[in-house]
Amino acid sequence: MRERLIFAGQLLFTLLVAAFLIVPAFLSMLAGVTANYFRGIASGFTLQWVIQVWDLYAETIARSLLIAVATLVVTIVVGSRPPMRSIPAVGGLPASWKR
Amino acid sequence: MSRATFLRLCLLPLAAVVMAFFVLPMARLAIVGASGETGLRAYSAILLEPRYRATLINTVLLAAATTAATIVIAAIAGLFLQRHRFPGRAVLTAMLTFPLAFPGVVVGFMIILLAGRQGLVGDMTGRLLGEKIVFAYSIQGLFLGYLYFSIPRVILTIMAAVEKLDPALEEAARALGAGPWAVHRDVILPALGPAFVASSAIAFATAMGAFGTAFTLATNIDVLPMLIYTEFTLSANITMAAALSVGLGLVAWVILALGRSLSGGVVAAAG
Repeated sequence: MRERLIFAGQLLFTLLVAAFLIVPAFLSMLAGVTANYFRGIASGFTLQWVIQVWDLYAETIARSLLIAVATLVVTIVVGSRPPMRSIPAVGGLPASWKR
Repeated sequence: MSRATFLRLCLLPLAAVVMAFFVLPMARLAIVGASGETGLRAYSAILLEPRYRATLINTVLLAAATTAATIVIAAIAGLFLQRHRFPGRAVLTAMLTFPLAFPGVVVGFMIILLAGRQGLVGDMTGRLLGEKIVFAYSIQGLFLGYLYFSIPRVILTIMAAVEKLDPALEEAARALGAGPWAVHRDVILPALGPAFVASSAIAFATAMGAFGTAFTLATNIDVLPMLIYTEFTLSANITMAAALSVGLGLVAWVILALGRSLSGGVVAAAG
């Protein structure tokens, strides 16, 4: 019984945290397809904002993707180094220690 | 080419990038900070000038509060998710890490949708209490925004640490007669100590420097990143902006270094 109460309490808490993280994201997506945000969802749904954003900002979105890919490439090139311990000059183990 | 030479050459891109994009700009920033009319006194002004000092204290307190709340929330949720298997667990974990995808500005926007003038909280309190509660643009709104992006990071670190715990220790404690609270207090939480230190350091440093969220929400409150921004855009006070940047960087770096040494180097892996 006690175990179940603890389980339920923790589940409830975790669900509340998840709600805090998800509800605002859901709200912003909902706002994106609401015909008139200031009148709320009663004003109906529309895709016109999404289409407008695409018309206005397709290039911007493409540019963001390009920058992300370029960053990824540089990070991979820079980050691909052999393990530090295999390089004596940067504090690796003495060669005699190695198997 | 010998193997050692090849291995050293592999470090060249890293060295070049670190030099060009980190060491040189940082050095330049430190020099600019001391190049104004007051010279090195620009740095002491961070602590001596009341407005700068108040902002620094404000920022540190906000970052500390964010870190403390994040650790408590993430510890409870992380332990729960890693310890229990139930239907929907994977979805719940995905939901808790979902905000990682959003930049600070979007987080700020979401806090406005939640607690702004047209927000959900205002709407509900307006109907229930007859008075709209709006706190998106206050320090509470900023706190909520910082929680929003630090919870997912810390939960991931804590879940990974819980997975690595040795179940034999808990079983031993239980066999010796310890109840669930005692097991948590004396075995599980101490064992998670390094993970708490590491993720606290990251949460704190991120909250100190978060700009996007502050930019959308902190219209009336002073936090360090906003102060730096207004110093060099509105006041064109490049020297002070540089000195404040160095100060901000120094605080964050000290916290990360502390976290790293106290937790045995998990910080880099988690960041």
